[in-house]
Amino acid sequence: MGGPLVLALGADAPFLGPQPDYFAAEADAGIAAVRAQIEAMPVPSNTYLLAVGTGDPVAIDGADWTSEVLAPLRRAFAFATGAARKLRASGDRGSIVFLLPSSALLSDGPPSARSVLLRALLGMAEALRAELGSSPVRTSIVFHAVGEDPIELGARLEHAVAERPMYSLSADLDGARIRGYFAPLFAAIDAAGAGPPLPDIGPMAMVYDLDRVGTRRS
Amino acid sequence: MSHPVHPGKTALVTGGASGIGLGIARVLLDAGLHVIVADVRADHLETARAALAEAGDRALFLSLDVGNRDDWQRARETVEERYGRLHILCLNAGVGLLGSMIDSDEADWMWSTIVNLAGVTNGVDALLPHMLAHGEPGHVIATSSMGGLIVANDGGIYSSAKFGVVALMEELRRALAGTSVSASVLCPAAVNTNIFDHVRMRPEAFAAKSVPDERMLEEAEAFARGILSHGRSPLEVGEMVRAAIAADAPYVFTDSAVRPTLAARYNALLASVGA
Ligand SMILES: NC(=O)c1ccc[n+]([C@@H]2O[C@H](COP(=O)([O-])OP(=O)(O)OC[C@H]3O[C@@H](n4cnc5c(N)ncnc54)[C@H](O)[C@@H]3O)[C@@H](O)[C@H]2O)c1
Repeated sequence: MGGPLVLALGADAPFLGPQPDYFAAEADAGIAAVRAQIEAMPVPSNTYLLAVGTGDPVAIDGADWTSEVLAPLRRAFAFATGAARKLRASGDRGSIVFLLPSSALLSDGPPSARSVLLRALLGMAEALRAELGSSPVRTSIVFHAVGEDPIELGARLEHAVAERPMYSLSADLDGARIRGYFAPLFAAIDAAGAGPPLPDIGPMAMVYDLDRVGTRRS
Repeated sequence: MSHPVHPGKTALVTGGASGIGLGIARVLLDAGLHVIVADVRADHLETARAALAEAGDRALFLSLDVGNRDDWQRARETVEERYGRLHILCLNAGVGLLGSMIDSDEADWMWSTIVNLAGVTNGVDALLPHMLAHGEPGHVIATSSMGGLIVANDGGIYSSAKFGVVALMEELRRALAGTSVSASVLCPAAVNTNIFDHVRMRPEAFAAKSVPDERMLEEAEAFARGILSHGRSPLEVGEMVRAAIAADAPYVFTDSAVRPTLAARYNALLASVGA
């Protein structure tokens, strides 16, 4: 079956061993060129992986947003949507895995421009899973923690490719931290009060339905 | 930290000539501030000039493309020459480009990401150092979206940029703790604005590969306009923004009816702990 095709973003992207094929394209290759390159590459495992490193904290004042955020975001977009197009056309079962630092979800280290890239990638990954909906292709987000045992991470990756849950959380993303992040969001939503009722536009946020996220508990 | 919503202070609002931006501009003018209404669309600037006429010379109308860094330098010069100090920066301009992420092309991605995300980072780069340097209370608020916290199946490029805006404002707020400036993020749900016609204002530089079918476009616009006409008024949202700046609230939402959608994501994450 072979291994995944991997796009590594950042010098500290988790090393996945010698088996995977690493994707390489010109740094400034356009979205269409990257997609065409993916289209032409055989990937018998039907598994595509974006491995993203934690990166150095880059202060927000003085950040070079193009190199820190826009360029890698565009590259990830081209890779992920290129993989989705290819898998969709084949009609086969496939996986697109975003391997993201846990700070993509919850950032409490030094404030950093890197968090903007990581969160935008998280939004991209969730939206891709939503768009692929009931197709045989799934997007999973595997969070990794600083210093995580590579064997444990490898096992979670394997599980993600096989079971294709929406999220696989690293041990540092515990319930208390998740509740801590969402509490002020819920407080602010409640403070807004209800706006005028809107016409029914159908089910919202179905991608988050517990029977679709693929946790062992669901 | 005291807040900057006081008569005589100065605010700049991007996308200020329509919808939510215009609502914010009007509320801040009513509170006695000077407001620079900055927008890329000449027609919207003209409409806003007429709508805000009673504010007299406390309102200044500025042509600014948030994706253009030279425009931002000119905006900073205008602020420094005309007012000396900027106190409130509302990074609100955005384009609501929806549709399939998988089928979208370079121009779609560039337009949405340059306006919705780089439009915010450019504003922070151009004016935050000035706001910190003068030392008076200041506030930066960026307009993200509910789509910056939850995704739909037809808004991937938009959501990716708006997720980034939420993170930027969260990080900025933490970075600015203890300084004279603070930061917040506005996540509107349905607000009755002109966001339904954004496909028509695509600049030449990001022209679509194919001309959209006029009838389909009209139908989509009519559908969106129909939904949004039931939404909050931009003036109400402007008032929420004013109150949030005064209270230094980190997050501003416009409708508690969206709680269940955010709760769905929260529950999905909690259910994944230790799974
Ligand atoms: N209306 C809603 O329901 C809703 C929901 C979620 C988020 N938002 C966000 O609210 C913000 C304001 O949108 P709105 O709903 O008031 O729409 P609107 O069309 O009424 O106003 C947006 C304004 O931004 C301006 N603009 C667009 N591109 C620009 C650029 N490159 N530089 C400067 N100005 C530019 C437009 O000319 C327009 O005047 C956007 O960021 C949008 O994503 C709106």
